[in-house]
Amino acid sequence: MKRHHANRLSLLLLTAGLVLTGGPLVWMLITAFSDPEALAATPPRYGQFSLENFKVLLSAGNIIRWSINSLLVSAAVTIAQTIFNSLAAFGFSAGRFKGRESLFILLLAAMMVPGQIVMLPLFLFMAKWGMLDSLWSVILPAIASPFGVYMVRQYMDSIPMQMSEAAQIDGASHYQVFRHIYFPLSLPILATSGIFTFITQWNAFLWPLITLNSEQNYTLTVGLSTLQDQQMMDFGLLMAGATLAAVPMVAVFMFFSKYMLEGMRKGAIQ
Amino acid sequence: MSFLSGSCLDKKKLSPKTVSAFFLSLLFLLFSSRVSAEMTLKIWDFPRWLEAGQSTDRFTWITGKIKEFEAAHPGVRVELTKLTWQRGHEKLKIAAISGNSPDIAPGTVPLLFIKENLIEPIDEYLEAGDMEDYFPGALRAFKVKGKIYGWPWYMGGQLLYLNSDTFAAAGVALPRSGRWTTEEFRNSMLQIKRHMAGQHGHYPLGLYYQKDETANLPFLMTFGGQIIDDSMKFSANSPEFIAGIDWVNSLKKDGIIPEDSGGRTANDIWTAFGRERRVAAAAFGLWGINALKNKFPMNFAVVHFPTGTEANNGSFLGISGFYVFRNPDLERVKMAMKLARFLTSGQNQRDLVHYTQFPTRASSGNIYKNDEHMSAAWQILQEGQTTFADSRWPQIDEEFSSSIQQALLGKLSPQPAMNAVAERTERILSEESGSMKEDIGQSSLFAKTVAIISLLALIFALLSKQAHLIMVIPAVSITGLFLFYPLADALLLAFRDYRIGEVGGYTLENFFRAVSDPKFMMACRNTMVYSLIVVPANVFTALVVASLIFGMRGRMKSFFRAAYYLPGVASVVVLTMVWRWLLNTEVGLFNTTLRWLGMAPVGWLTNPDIAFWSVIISGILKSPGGAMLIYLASMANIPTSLYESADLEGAGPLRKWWHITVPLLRGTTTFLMITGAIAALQVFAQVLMLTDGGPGISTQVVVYRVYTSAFRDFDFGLSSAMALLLFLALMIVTLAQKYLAKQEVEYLA
Repeated sequence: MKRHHANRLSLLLLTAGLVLTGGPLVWMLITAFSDPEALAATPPRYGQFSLENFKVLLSAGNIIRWSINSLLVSAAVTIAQTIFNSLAAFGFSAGRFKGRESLFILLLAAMMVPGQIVMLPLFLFMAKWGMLDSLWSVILPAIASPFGVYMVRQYMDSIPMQMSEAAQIDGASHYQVFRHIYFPLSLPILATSGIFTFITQWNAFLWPLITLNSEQNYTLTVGLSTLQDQQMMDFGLLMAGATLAAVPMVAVFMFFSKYMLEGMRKGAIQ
Repeated sequence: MSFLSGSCLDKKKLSPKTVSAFFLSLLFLLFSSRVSAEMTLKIWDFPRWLEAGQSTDRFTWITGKIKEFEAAHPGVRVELTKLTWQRGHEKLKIAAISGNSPDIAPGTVPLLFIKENLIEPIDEYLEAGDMEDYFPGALRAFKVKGKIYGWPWYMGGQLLYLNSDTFAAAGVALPRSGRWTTEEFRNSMLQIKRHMAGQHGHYPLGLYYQKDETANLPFLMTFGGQIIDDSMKFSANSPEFIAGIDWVNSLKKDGIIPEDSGGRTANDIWTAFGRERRVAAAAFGLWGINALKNKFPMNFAVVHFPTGTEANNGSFLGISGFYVFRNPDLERVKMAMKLARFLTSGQNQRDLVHYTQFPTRASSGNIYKNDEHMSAAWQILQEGQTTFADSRWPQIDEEFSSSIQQALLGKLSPQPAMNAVAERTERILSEESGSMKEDIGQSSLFAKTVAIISLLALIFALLSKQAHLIMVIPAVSITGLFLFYPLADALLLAFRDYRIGEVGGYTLENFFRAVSDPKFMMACRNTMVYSLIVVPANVFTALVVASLIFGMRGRMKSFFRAAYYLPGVASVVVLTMVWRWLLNTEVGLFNTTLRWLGMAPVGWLTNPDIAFWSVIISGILKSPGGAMLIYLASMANIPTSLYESADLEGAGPLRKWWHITVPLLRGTTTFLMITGAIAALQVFAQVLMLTDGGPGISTQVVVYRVYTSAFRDFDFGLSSAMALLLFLALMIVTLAQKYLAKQEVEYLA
């Protein structure tokens, strides 16, 4: 009986919390699918269903091209990070080389550098190597992440040494130990950090805005910001754009979440 | 050891072959989009007007003109980069200063670039009759030290707009011949105020004072005050100007303008005037005429600004054109000049009729013959004035605008505020001129040393043949190359006097300037408040939500887990766009609801005492996403035996949670606190997009200040010094928390 009450209470709390945390996004959807005329009325009438905002949005600019660019960047960065981060994490976790900890701390210190500080020198660097206005300028600086290395290493540290020792007695190389023991065992955390990475890249705004110049090279966030018309605040159109930017991420999460949560569950039984 | 079962997860997904195939196709896609031509000119432009049949594309006109030009000049390809009004100027400045400018860019006379010797004068490229064809004022606007630095295109200006219907309904006559004195103006406004009585959020007049906005400056200059006087001295601290500020403040006291007028933006006032019609008078650029005729039809009139002296109080003018960047390839410059001349030719200026801006060439003819508003505007603008033509104006404007905002918000009293600006401006104006362009292209010796040391370490590591070390190298060297190398470059600047107009030697001055910069001090305070509130709130929310979800079963559990996580995948950009919409003073949901309930609307983003709390709320009310998942995973690791023994002792759920769950999750909590604090201390995008640091300086945060001082004021020394201070703070936070936790941070363990 008591348990039942507790459950009801937590259900209530969770639902209330959901209204607060998910509310803004629901509002985004409502606005995006509302009739623009009704929205512009005084007082505005919300919730009159219409696809007009999306029609206008899709007829303008290169939304498809921008989405492909965003997808390319996010996928390339995610794959590269999965490889480089897990390799480095393995090196830090299983390796016993000199300077291991100082190198690791150096990497940790990198987490504390606000990206905006290095923006100008990095911009000059990209310019010097002719990478401005290409997706490389967005991809390259992100192909390894100190935070990712840190997360994966923490996870790998919990893998018992005996396993790799046993494998090495059987004649496995360090790479094989990584490939057949550490990498597969770390898949849960790699999936988690992979999703984080993908989302972060998809959502990146300021840096692509500064380096990408041609319209066909824009990522989705940059492209959408060009649709903003300062004088005529067309919120319906803006929210439709925001929806288009957010929906693929939901799809990514839906697609990978099973894999990720499954991994988390397995990792948790240890 | 059920751990091993993890290895049976699908391995194929990430096999090396798939990965390399993906990369190759990526490479192909990236490079296949490049097409070569004999000459490719790069032109950047801002969004202009909507051509007939277009609903969002404001580049149709220039795209068409470019096609025409390409057809007439075979072998020339023109590449258009579409700027946005919001970040376009910054982008252009960054590109130009770093030597990556386009061939042609739009705008008013580019004084900064001219000083940096980046712009090619057009004098040699003028053709017969051009000089006579241009209105003298237009050429004068682009003239610096005897040379003309751009092709004038259109002339715009700021006008005072009146809603004729509201005036008529209140029984107030429009000013005769569009002119009125301050007293006539106040009386009219008071009459309208009486007419509006009882309507929340309705005001006779809307004002906004932002950087780069000159529309409302005439209100401050109504008693003859000037910002920069004829002898090039800052004079906004003169009695005449202070009288103007006091007058505007007295309008506030009379309820003619809203309390938070200093915090309103052009967008707010436009929405209130053009769309919601809650404001009867407001000043905007010429574009308003177009908007009020087409998108938001209204009976309106354009009139002069009120004046408190005998002299007229002129509105501010702006003359825009296209300018051409210098280039060693003279053929290229010649072609760029041709394109710029073509775009601004008399024939093409006739199209300005869609843009409601005035042509700058006589040969375009009188395109507004039958337009009463534009004809009235033309008369008003004849008496207009221009802003201080100096490359240091943006810096002065930055200081001036934020002090004016604060003076109008009652945060500072006018005279001392303006005196302080005068002092800072004096410094800005007294500085030597110099160029930083040559210097900036060279990376510093220090950064080079860092690079060489890293390279040596890399070689050593490779030679050492230690497999583990080699595996670490890619990640470490990428971080080194794209983070530490530029960081070294940036931090070195902290110890140099390095800004527009001055490239000096090594100094500690930047740090003194940082701590005496009121914006930076406000930024530090705000960032601290933000972190102290938002981080614990977020972590606590994640903990509570995770605990509640953890106790659930089956479908319910999956549902809540997904529902709480999903909003977290939306970007800060998207979320901030939504928050801006929710919090909008005029049409946002919050204020619409308040109005509906009959309550006074709140200046969520315009009231300096509230704006930062709005930023904080938007930081708190977001999905606990990642943190929640991490907590969930950690909870799964707590042995159930602990709960079972607690059950035996008869402990309730809350006691179990507090005495078992929470303490055992301490490692995870510390981890989330540290990463949360590191992220919170770097809060930036929200502020940039929600409030842009205003109203006044009320929502400045550290990274925002670092960003603006670098990319808006081009004071790289100051910016780097502030960045270094932030970096130190981040170090201290991390070390302190680690020390306090006194335990190895455990993740998922």
